[in-house]
Amino acid sequence: MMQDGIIAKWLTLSLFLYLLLRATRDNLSRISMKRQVITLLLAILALTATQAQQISVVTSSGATNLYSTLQEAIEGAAAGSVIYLPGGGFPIADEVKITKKVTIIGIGHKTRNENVDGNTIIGGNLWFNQGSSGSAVMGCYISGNVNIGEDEKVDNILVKLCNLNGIQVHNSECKGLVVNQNYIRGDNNYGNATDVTISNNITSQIFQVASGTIKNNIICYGGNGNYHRLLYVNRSIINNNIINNEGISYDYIHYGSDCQTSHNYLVNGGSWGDDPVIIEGATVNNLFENLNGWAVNPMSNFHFTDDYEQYETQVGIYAGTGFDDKQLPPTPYIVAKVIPENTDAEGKLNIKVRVKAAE
Amino acid sequence: MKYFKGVFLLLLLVLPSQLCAQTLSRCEYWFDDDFANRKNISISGTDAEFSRSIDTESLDVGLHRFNIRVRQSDGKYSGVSTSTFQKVASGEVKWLEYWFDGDRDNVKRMAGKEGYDGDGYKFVDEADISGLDVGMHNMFFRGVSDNGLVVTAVSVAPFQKYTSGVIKWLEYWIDGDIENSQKLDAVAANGGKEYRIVTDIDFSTLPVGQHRLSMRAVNEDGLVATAVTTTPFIKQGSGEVQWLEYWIDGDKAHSKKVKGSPASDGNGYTFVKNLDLSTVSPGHHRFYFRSMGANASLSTSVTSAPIIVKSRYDNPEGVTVDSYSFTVDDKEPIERPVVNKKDIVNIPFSLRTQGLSMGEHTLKAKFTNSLGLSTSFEQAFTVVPPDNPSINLECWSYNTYVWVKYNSIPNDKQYEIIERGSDGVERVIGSWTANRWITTLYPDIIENYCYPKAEGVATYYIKARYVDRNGFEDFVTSNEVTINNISPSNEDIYGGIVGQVKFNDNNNNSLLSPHKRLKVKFSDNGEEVSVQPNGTFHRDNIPLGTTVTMSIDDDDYYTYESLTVVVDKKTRNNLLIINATVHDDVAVSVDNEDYDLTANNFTIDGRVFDMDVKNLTDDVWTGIVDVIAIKKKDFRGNIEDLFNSARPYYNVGYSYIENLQRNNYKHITIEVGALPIGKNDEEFIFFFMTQKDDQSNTKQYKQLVFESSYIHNPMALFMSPDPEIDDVEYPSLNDFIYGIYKIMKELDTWQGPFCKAIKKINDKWEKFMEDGDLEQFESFIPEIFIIFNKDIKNIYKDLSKDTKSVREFYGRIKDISDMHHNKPFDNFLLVCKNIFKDFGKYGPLKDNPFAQIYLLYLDAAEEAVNKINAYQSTWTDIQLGDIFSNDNITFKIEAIRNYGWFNLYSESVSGAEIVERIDDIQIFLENTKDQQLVASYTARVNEENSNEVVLRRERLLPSTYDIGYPSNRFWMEITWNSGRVSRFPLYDNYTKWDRNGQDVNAITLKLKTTTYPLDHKIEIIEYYE
Repeated sequence: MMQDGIIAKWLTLSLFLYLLLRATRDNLSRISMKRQVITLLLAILALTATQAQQISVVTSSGATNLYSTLQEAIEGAAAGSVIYLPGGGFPIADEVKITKKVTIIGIGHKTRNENVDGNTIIGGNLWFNQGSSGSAVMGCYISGNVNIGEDEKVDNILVKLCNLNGIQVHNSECKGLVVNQNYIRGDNNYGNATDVTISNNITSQIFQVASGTIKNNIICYGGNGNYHRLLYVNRSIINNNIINNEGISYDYIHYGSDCQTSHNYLVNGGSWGDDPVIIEGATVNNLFENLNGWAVNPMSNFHFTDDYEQYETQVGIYAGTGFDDKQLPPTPYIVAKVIPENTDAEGKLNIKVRVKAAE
Repeated sequence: MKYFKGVFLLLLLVLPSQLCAQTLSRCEYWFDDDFANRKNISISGTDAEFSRSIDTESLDVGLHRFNIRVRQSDGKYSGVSTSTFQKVASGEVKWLEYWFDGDRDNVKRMAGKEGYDGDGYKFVDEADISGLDVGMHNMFFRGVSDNGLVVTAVSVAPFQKYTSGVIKWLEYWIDGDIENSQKLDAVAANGGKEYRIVTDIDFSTLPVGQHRLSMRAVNEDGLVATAVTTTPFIKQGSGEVQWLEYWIDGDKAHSKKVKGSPASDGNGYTFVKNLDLSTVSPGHHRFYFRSMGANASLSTSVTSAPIIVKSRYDNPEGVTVDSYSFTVDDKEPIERPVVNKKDIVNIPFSLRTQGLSMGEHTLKAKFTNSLGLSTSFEQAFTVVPPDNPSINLECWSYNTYVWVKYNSIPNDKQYEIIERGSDGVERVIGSWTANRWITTLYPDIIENYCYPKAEGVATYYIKARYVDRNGFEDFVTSNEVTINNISPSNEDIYGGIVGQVKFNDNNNNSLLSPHKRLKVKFSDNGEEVSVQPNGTFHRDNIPLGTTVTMSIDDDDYYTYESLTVVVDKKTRNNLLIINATVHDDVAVSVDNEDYDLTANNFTIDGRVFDMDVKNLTDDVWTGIVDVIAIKKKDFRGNIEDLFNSARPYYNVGYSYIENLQRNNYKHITIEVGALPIGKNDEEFIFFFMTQKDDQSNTKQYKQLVFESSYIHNPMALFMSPDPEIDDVEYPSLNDFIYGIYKIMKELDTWQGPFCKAIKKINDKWEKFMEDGDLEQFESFIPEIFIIFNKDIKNIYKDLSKDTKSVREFYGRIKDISDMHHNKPFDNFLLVCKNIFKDFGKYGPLKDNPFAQIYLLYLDAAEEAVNKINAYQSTWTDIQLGDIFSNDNITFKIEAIRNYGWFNLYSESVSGAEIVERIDDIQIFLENTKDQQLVASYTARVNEENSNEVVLRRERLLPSTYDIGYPSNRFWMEITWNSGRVSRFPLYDNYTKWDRNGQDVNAITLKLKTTTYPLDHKIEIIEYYE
């Protein structure tokens, strides 16, 4: 019951302090504290970019300018520039319109990826207005929508490797839109645009396409207040898609005309279109690695289970040109870095960095 | 070889860069915003790692940013990666500066000593804590260089200052009575590292039973040196048992003793005596007793047993026990008759305690005999949760699921269904709090199913969490059941049907355009399956053995004989044929030798034909005037072929005429109903026929003759025939304009200015027609376009755009109309199609000066279509989002407390009692996008009904949201003060939400409890609007 709990009048700290205090080999005493590195995960609606973030904008001639906010970068960028967004959150107001050709590249939208700085989050909507034809956005989490052609027609926009709420095309004369390898969480409206390519996405309803190619997507839901998975999709090729037809009748898979539909797969049974893909024995419960309730986010795993792996290259996002699970844009990235909190006694900053080129 | 190499090199040069892997070229770094002075680090390969010791000489001491980015071979960069660092003052750490508890005014230092192994500095010293009180403190410290500069950040170390001094005593007290604490001497042992108590503690004055011993060490100064330790213990009785003390019921004051004798086996004492209970009234009593030692010290606890004291008197003859009643506490007793009435009856009765709270209760019983006399009995008892609840599990595999059936336990909190596969891995495959809406009663049998994760043989058991009698959480697991998970393929469970609809045994039916979908109705579940344009249909996932009858009942077609099959595995391999028959296919003939009626003053107002008909016959005429449509390609040029043709025709409207006298007129109106929809280039011809009602049951059609000619083309529907213009082939522009005018008026859009403008044009056109001056044609074109605010010079430029939008719009009208099957607007669609088609007859659209009129007309039509959509949305299925976001909906909660021991007794729980127990109420809506929207509510007692609780919405989360139709789930969660959560759906197949186009004002939820307190278990019994 009794312990040797009598503490001496004078506190002895030797062991404790020794653990904390170390000197360098060159006999210069310095302290290095061991601290826990905390990686701050930005909330989905993180709207404040820290002052430390630097957005580099590289012109077509290779010159670089630095900005601290996305709005400044968009307004300051020359046509043809590439805006490299680092990890972190970048709010953008709806008043900011993109009116020149720019390419916006983040470091990826997944919170867990190989990039040491996490992911890039654009808080708000992007507006590609007149003059921005040929623009692109890649590797970003966008809390809002990508809007195209609000004022005049805008052509050849590329949205790739993003996680966004939806695509909204406001002008039916827009053409050449490419939507590839994205997570599209909410309602889309392709505005009856023409020559639209929607491929290898995990998406909700595809709405109002006047002509185009819709292939290798996973279409999870209806949208825009309708059950239809493809609504007002006309004169298009609709191939190799996986369609969640749970709870809907045949009529609600596609409404439109003059489409060529083939090699599509209905997850909840039945067949649709020409040469439908049939996966014997597969059900919604055993086909995917992690259906996750059809959630459109990287926590879901739409790879086929081992029993049905051989069908994965026939239909869905991993068929065709494929789907990059890492969702990294085609830029180099920093995998790891050790930047000490303090300079050493000689005033040196001893860094260690590991980088990778785009795969 | 050279050639080959050259080709190879050429290929490399022309390959796009994306096909070649990128390589790293350099890193660039800079401090803060000094991009201009950035430095490069050359790197190569695809994966590079490097270390650098970077000079910061140009930087001031303090916080800085280190920025780095990477460039690869194709010129792309990474994002800039920024890290902050502190440039610290350099120099040796010579001193450790420290202070306590934030007291910077009393900072002290200790000097460092040479580090061990010659490596750095070590601080080994005693810090002065004399000024500190006994208790918890924090020590702050940092390194300081010789020149006084701080070279490290501050660190903190907590510590406890204890009392010093030699331990002298153990202070103790019993049952919290610290005021009467005692001290025992502590003796040092083990070299002073321990202290021991060698004196016994006297418990002689303590009564037998449970007690608590508290103790702590005290030093020679009388100061407390350790924390208090408390240990429970039981004092037992001692000595030989010699007496039995007993008493009846609660009358301890009149207890008596019986002396015992040693047991024959030498083990204990026995007490055998006839006790005198003569003073005890006849009836049920309880006998209490305990044993005592020779010195009357207590040696056992009190035990009791129920006894029945018989009356000393014999029962009167013929008197029987007739009825009895039971109740608990002060509840209303329930009377029960005795089935086999006798003088002595045995009434076994099990009191289920599930309706009772934990704690003390009184069972009250009363027995009444045939003379009407009764005797009462009361027995106190205590309801406690069982110490060791158990769960018995049954488990089996069926239909690819794992089914489990098990009993609930009292005070339960959660049940988990756990699976252990052959790999030994355990998984939770079900949990009743997570996956199920139901709540359990106790005792109850829970049965549900789960999706097994393991294939083949697997073991299942239930793990339940509950609260024991002491209020602590504990677990209990059920028995394990091993089953073999059979995964039958769907083919063993479901079959399908593939069929084709034929029309009068003919495959072809041009009616089945993509926009006209017949539906085959299935009798087993009422499902309607659409028929494809080629006449085929299919349905899957029909359980094997289901008897299915298929039929068609359409406006135009029906199945004369339904088709019935029993679905087996092979059914889908056979193409089933369903024959559809046209309605009204009774053979008819036409007698055109005489015309019964003639028509005049024929006008068309939108969808309504107006005309005056005259009876040409000698007799009073009764019958119908019928409007019939037939496809132009089916029409052979004379009226007889209308009915002799095997191809279908359509009755699109009629008017019944009764007792029309000879040579008399009657004004009739015929409303055009559903018009046939053919292919895009289909033309229809309309005929007006009469059929006299001559009781012959045969259809004898005659043609309705118009005194003035009218135009046999679709436009005739909407044209006002102009006797001045006899243009059979093409409709006149005047007719067209007039027709538009009529339609516009009906649509009730653009009525004012548009109709005025149209009238003005019409007037001018008439004048033009009178004068025959084609040159005047151009004179009012500018006026037209000025009216519509268009510059004539730009008209041709706009037309091309307008043409495309016209086509697009036309397509939209078609799509929307087909999708919604809005019959009132079917003819509207026909108008759009035919107008567009006929305008083509005038050459390209852009040459027609009235193109703008047409476009404006279509604009108005678009607005009408918007009305269709709005109309449609009003009458679509209930959208939960509307309910969810509707502030007007009031929720009321009523609760009924049922007492399970009688199953008959229930009482309303007051609203105040409900509100008192509610911690939180939320309503959830989960839409198809997996978004969970939450509305929080507060509860208050309904002023109009104190047994009701009404909910008022506090807020919606998130504050902005997209409801997202349709919605998946809609439910309410009530979190009770006890921590239990009741969860129940608000919208499912059983709901009684019925809007009928009107807002739902209130929904009442009725809660039923079977266990007290109210919030222990809740079950929804009904909810209604």
